[in-house]
Amino acid sequence: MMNSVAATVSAPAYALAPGNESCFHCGLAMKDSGEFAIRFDGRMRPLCCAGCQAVAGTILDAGLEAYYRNRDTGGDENMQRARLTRARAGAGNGDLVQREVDALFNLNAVAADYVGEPDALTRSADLYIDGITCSACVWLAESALARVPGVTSVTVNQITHRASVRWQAGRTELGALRSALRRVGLDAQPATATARFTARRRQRRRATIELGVALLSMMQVMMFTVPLYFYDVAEVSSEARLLMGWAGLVLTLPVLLVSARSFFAGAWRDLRLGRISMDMPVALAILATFVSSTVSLHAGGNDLYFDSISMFVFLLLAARYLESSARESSLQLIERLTNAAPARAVRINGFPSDREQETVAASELGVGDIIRIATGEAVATDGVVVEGCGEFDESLLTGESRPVLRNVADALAGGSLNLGAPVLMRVTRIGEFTTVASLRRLTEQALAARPRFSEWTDRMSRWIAPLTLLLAGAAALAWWGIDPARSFPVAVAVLAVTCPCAFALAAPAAQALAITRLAREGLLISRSGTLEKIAVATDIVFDKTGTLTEGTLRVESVQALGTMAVDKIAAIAVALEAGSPHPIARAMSTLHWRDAMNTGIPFARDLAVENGAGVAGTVDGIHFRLGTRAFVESLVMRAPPTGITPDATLFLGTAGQWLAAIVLSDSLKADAAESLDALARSGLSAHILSGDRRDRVAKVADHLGVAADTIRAEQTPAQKLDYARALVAAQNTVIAVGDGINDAPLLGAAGVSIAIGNGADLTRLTADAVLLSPHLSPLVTARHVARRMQKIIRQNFAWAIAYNLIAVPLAMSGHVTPAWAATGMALSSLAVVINSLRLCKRSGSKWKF
Amino acid sequence: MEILILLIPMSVAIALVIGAAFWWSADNGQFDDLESPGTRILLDDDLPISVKEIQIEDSSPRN
Repeated sequence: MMNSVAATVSAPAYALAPGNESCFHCGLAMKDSGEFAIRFDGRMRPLCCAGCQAVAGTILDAGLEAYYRNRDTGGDENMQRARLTRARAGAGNGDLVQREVDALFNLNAVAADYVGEPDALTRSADLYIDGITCSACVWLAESALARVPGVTSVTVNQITHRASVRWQAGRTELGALRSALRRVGLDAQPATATARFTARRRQRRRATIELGVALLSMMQVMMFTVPLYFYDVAEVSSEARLLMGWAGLVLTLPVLLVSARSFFAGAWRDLRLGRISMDMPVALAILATFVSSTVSLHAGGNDLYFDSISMFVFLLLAARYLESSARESSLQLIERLTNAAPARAVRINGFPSDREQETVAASELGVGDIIRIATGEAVATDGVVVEGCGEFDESLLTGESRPVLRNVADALAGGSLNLGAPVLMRVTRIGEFTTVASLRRLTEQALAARPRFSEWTDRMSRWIAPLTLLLAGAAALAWWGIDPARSFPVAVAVLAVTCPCAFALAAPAAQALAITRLAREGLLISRSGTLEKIAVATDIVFDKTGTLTEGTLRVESVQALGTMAVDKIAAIAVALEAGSPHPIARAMSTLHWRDAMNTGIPFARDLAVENGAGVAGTVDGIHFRLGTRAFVESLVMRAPPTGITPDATLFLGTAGQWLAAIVLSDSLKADAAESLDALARSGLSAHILSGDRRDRVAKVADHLGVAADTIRAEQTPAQKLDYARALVAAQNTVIAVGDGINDAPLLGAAGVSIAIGNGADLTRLTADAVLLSPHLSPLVTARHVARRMQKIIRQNFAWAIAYNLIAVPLAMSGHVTPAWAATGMALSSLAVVINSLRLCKRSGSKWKF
Repeated sequence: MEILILLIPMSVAIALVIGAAFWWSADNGQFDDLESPGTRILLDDDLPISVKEIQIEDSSPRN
């Protein structure tokens, strides 16, 4: 099989880098080759670890080698890292926890939440698949699922990352599907079959139908009406003329009944509430134009505006569709992350006298139950610690990657990850009352809010709508005196010509295109009006950790204090931290790639983790401690030597000897300096507010060129809030960029809040925009695009006003025929749309301000 | 030009049929994912389902 395909490939997609420098599966750079490798296309390919080997092996054994041929390798470091994480997860083929979870999904009680029964013999379920980055991943997931005996149909949606699977009842189970995906390195989480998702999908399809129907109708109606504008009356027989008129009417009906429904509904709602929005003049124009055209057709007249109706509706819907697409993708992402609630818990029956353990589904837990959370496990539901203490990663809720210490009587939120020793917890909240569930409800509320045209447009419409009506009424009245028969057609011509198309499109078209443009760069705007504020903003406030910096620790330097060589120190440190999910351990693994590969990693025994202090263990018969100064000193029993770097936070020592001082740092994002510089040139003054130590903040600010009087270190959330309030009080428009719940007050006080989208946290749901890209450069683009958008909207309005100043007097004096009305309308809207399209174009390589 | 009397109703009927077909396909999710189907055709997976199942029972053992 391999030989036959080898000949057909000319430019292999898997050639990530020449030589043996990167892993064949995940693409990450590797120092040493030879330990792991796999045969592909007749050559041995290097692999970086056992995880990648297991996954690559499964993929090739199953005959799915097309994945490596077709996947989108790119140079994206994030994609590679995702693949590596997946491979590590996949290496847990024999992982007990994962297998237990699979078994749980096979239980009827648990499966009931996820599995549907289309008929007696068929079962269906949806799974969210993590780490789909390209079409080849979609194909891999589909193939892996299709090869499970009993599966009858599989479709994986690349946009929503959702797989819909159907299988024959009794031949396979949900858990088996999940393990089939894990074997090829894809992590999957069954999705609860909620009415919410179905409703949203229906809404989305509905929008597609509305848009498509309007487009089809627009093209067809034009086909019937345009010839009438250009041919002499004598050339077309009156029967044919009448027939074409009726054809136009028939084909406009679907637009009225299907596509324009939302405008009518909106206008009706506004009417009952006694306010005016853009929906009102739109609905009125559509209705008046349709009624007058129908009346005219009936009377044998020529004032037909059917094409104007469908074109108008189509253009408006298209702008709306683009806007909601950008919104949708941001919300889908949040939903996917919040859906990752753990499904399994270990219950301790008869606590405290008896300690019988039982693995149960999270849905079977009741308030008051005692559950055990082992190291590396996620908390199943909300509760309070009753025994033990441990460090928990609450990044799901806060976005903060540094763990927090939780002691007896402290509250634990479902979804947080235990990084320390096992703890026992009493369940306090279950089901719909948990923190994760309330997150989900917030998402739902965000979804329920309809995308609206910008507030400014709505304000404009407040006087445009009455003005249009007034003008039409005045024209009708005036013509009643001159020639009563022409009174009605003239009034309609005024409505059709002014028909607020250019006005209605001026802002939404530009906005929709700007939002789409920014979404492509990795900045999702979730509230309309945000861009307008970004354009006029004067100040930008940054949080430091996780916003300007990567938010993850790296080993900056290792200083040897004793006789031991640095690479030996690295090997021991890596061995001590191996297998721990703690951020410091992750930092150690970066050390591993650089220095320790040549020495090989020894095996550490008797590992004991002391929360908040460090780790102790035995390597090659010698007892070591790695951790805080005090923790290591209690083993060394001697004061540390002088000359240690003051920045060192992590120490390694053995009985009687200090071995190393390690400096950990949180590195700046690669493009931070460049982006801040560009923002400063665009007239934004930058501020840095951080909870971190003064010297570290000063160092960062200095590096980024931020003035010393606009940085504040050692800030509490309340102080950050005060600082932002003071800025706002001084008539500044403030953009706040932050991550995590500790920045929530700051984000709330600012005019525009931008959340960093590393984790799924509450901040993201309330922020005006979410930065998904790991870089800061989209902020620069946003500033630029927002300003251009303002300019373009202003141009659009100027154009619309100029057009109307010419067209309205002409229409009122009875000089506008339907042909002219249609041409004028088409040209005015087209000009607006084409002008707005300039937003999607990049002018040169550098942004100009 | 009498042919118009026939052609116009015909084109209206065809347009309505196309509209109905579009409605049906959108309602059935044909427009849900516009990215992967385009590239999916390039991935070789021509084995019919029955052959696939035989392959699995033959070669790749499930644990």
